[in-house]
Amino acid sequence: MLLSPCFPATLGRISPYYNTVLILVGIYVILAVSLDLLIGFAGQNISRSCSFFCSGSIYFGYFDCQA
Amino acid sequence: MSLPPSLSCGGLFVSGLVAWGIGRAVLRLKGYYLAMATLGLNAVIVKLITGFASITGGASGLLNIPPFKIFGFTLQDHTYYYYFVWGIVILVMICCLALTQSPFGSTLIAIHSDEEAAGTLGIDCPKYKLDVFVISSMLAGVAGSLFAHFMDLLHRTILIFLPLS
Repeated sequence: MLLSPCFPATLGRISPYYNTVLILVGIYVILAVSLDLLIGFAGQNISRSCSFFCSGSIYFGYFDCQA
Repeated sequence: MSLPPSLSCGGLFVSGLVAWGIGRAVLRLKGYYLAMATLGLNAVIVKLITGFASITGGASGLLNIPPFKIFGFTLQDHTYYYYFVWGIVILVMICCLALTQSPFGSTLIAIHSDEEAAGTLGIDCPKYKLDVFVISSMLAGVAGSLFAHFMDLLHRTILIFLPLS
C-alpha cells in the first residue's frame, strides 16, 4: 500500500480507467480505516459509515457549487 | 471557484459534529439495538437527502461540482488527484496507527474485550466510545469530501448504495 503512490510514476501515464479505479480504491481505503477503528478496535456494532460519508460529500458538494 | 481552506476542512468537522450529536443518543444502546438504531439512521439520511432538495439536489442530485483546488492549484488532472488522494490515505493510516498504539488505542481494545470489565477499571466507556465514533465519522467525512470532488456529481444512489455494497 505504501508503494501505491508510485504506480503512475512507474507505469508512466497509466490509462484513465486504472487511474480512476486506483483513486476510488484510495477513497474506500479511508472508509475502511474509519470502520476498522470503530468496529475492529472499539468493537461497536455500527452500520452507519455511509451516513457520514454522505454528510461530508453533501457539505462539499453544496458549498462548492455555491462558491 | 475554490473554497477557502477553513471552509474546505468543514466536511471533516460537519461529519464530526453530526456524529457527536447522534452518538450521544445512539451509543447508549448496545449490541443488536445499536446496530438496528444505526441502520435506521441510514434510512433517515436517505429521506433527508431526498427531502432537502434545495441543499442536496433531491432526486436529481448535485451536478457540476468543481474539481478540488488547493493553494491555487486545481487538481483537474486525475493523475494529480491520484497523488493527492493517496497522500491523504497514507497520512490517515499513519495517524490511525499512532492512535491505535497510544493509550487511547489500548483503552479501545479493553472496551472491545469486555466493556463491563473496562468500566470497573475506571475507564469512562461512553466517553471513549463517543470519541472513537466522532473520529471514525470524521474520516468517513474526509472520504466523502474526496469522493464528491472526484465524481463531479452527487446522487443519493451513489452516496447511499455504493458504500453499502
